[in-house]
Amino acid sequence: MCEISFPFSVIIRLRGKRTFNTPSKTNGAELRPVGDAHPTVNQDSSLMIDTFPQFPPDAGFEEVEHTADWAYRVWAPDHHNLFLQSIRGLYALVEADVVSSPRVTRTVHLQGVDYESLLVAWLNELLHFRDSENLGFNQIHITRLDSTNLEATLNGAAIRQWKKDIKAATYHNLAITPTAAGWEATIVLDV
Amino acid sequence: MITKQTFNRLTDYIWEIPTSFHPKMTVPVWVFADEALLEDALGDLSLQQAVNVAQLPTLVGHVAIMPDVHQGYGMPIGGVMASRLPDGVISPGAVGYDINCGVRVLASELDYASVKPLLGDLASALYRNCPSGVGKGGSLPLSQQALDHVCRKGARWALEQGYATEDDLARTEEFGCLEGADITAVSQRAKARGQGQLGTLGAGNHFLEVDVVDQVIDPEAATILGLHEGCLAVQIHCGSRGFGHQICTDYVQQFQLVAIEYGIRLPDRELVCAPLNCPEGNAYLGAMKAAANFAFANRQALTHHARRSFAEVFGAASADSHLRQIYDIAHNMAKLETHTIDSQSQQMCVHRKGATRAFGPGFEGLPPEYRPLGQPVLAPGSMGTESWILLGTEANEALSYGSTCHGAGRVMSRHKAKRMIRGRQLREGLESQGVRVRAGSMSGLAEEAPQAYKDVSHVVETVSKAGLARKVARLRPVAVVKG
Repeated sequence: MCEISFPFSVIIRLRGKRTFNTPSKTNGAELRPVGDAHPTVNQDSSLMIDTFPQFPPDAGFEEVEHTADWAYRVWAPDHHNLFLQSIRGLYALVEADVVSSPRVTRTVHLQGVDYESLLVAWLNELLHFRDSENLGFNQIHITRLDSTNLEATLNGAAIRQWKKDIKAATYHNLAITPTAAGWEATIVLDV
Repeated sequence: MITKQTFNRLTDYIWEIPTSFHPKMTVPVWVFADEALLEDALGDLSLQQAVNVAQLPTLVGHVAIMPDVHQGYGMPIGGVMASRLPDGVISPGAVGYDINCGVRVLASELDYASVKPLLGDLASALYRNCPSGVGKGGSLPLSQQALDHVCRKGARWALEQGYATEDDLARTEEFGCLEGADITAVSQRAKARGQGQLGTLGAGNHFLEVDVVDQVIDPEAATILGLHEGCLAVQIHCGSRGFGHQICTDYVQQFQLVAIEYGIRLPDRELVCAPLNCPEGNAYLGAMKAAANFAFANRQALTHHARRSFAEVFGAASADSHLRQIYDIAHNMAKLETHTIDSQSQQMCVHRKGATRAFGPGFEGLPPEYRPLGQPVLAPGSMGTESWILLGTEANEALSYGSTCHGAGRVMSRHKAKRMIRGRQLREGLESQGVRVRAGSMSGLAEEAPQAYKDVSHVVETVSKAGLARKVARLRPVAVVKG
């Protein structure tokens, strides 16, 4: 099982340096650029909205130049964290923010032909929740992830800020590739 | 790597990437550009994406790349590919997520100089009446049954509801309705997204613009089209909204497995495709047509709101203020068409993504008064710059399967545009030039700054010299509405 929880109460902004990995503070802090200190790891599975997340130190995301659409690269030591970073990057790009309550929980079960197809389905599933129910999630438990199945429990609330319409996550040149420190992928969003 | 040395120069405006460039290319790529626009195209990955497209199975002729090309995902924006029928492929990614994204132009007989003091009010009325922006709900919520009707009937549904005239439909590509839309091939998820979004502009590069016809190149054609120099016109640029996006998302995902089952090898998985004569390919075609019809109805609903806004500001009784439709065209679509290749007539599935159909004189799908002219082509420029009304030519049949450009084409990323340009300053600059701006997002405005786009007049000059279309009139913006 892998989990992510991060604060929406502070809008995640991509300004100035647009590379982010592990954030540095424990409460109400903005995500910081690469190079900041690593956070305290918290294994509590019921983290609240303002509880700071725990990401592995070698996980992160950065925006990549693209003429018309949006692209970003994500990296992590394992597939679970790569999938979590993909959501973190998506929410950061659109500067997502949710209200504090009421909290809602949704479960997802996705099937695909490989990890790449699951990654696209995963991002599009989160876009669907935004589009259909105006929901964003900052507590995400991935309870199962293999090359053909992804199961997760999402806890979040109504979105109060979402600055960019995203039509879809695409497969364009998508490949989850091994690196010395784990895995990485570059995701192109149609905007 | 593609460089200028890669190309065979066929004419001053046609550059070929031969199949010898890559062992898996099945057809060559023809790039329509002058040297400067070719340099622009080499500045991003758009031509590499075109080479990827040329590796798909069952293609015929060549992949045609328009001078407004820019990097997209899968197929570049500004690309045209044709697969043979009956066993050729159809690719959702080569149509794009915004199925039947397109442009509509309306024109009035209101003299710009006379109504200039009221343009601020007009911009505000349009902004108020035409929902735009991120997540904005539709002005015409639909029941499930009504959505089914929209998907089957397109703009004809709008006519039944009193949002259109027969003239509007006659002056719309495919008369505003693609036959064969299959609502059963559309997911419940797509339907849910579509039900609340009819009658919305959306955000991004979508817009509604008031223009003045400031130069007429072909007076005879302009008169027949209904364009009067010095008078106001309106452009509406939008598509099938979340309904189309979801249909594309569903089929791109579903086809990942389908392509494996049919043994289709892909250079880029976003180009995933299925044979048209298999159940899956046929289902996508039916669903795509449903989205296309939704988009025709969407632009028609916005037309209704634009007319309402004109009536609010200029008075309903004035015949001069009536917005008469010039034409409505798609630039993201796959169509089953017949074209001549090597003197042989062939049926094919033509995919146009960021490219406009531009059939020449005599085309029977046009209203009788337009047939001697050819199909109108609407090429919007970037925000604050000119736009063009063109006509399709006979020559483009052999060059690009009756296709031409769809606008200016980006040259700068949204990220860079936002870094370099402040939305508020941009708005002030446009206002000082006499362009009224109503926009929901200043950062969104900055992304669409004119500096982020190619010079549309350069693009239009190139399609004109390449023989893909001919100029009729130029429009200059006086008010812009954006989400």
